[in-house]
Amino acid sequence: MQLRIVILPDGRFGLYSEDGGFAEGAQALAEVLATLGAAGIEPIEVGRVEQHRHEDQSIREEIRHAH
Amino acid sequence: MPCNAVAMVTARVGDPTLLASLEPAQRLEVLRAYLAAAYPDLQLDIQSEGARCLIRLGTLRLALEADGRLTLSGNAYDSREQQILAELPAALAELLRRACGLALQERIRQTLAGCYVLLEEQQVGESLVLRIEC
Repeated sequence: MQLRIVILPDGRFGLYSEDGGFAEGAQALAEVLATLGAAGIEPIEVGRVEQHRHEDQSIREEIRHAH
Repeated sequence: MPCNAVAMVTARVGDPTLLASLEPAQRLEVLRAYLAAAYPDLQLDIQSEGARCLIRLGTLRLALEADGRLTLSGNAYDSREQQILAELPAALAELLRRACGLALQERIRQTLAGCYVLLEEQQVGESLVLRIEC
């Protein structure tokens, strides 16, 4: 599974799974956070892991499945 | 239907813990670069004493503590020195906050690169974007 991490200079960072389903993506994010925590990078706030889907994703999926 | 997972995280940056975690040489270099650029006409000397940085800027004798506090040894007599003292605390706080932010980016990059396959790394403005394979 591929993850994208965007680290802002003010200490905030975002984790985004780029493939797979929500459940395995959420698990991968949790593992990365645990890895960072073990390295002493302790988050002071973790937002709820959310699902994200582009507005046209269902259409793109249908088109892909149709082919 | 596939759905991506997204999490937003806030880590400590610019606090005494991370400030102290900056390498002493890195702290000195950041200070030296900033002060030399801001006050090119003043003689500058910076040394570390434990967790503190001792700064000689012109006739001013300053100490930057590990928690970011700036203290003055002696007095500021003329208007230039008083102006420098008025502007330095906020400027140094911002400078160190940014330095800590960059240090945090590097710590995250090194940690992830040591545990996962780093597929892509890109600097976008002041933000660092990584793509990893888990």
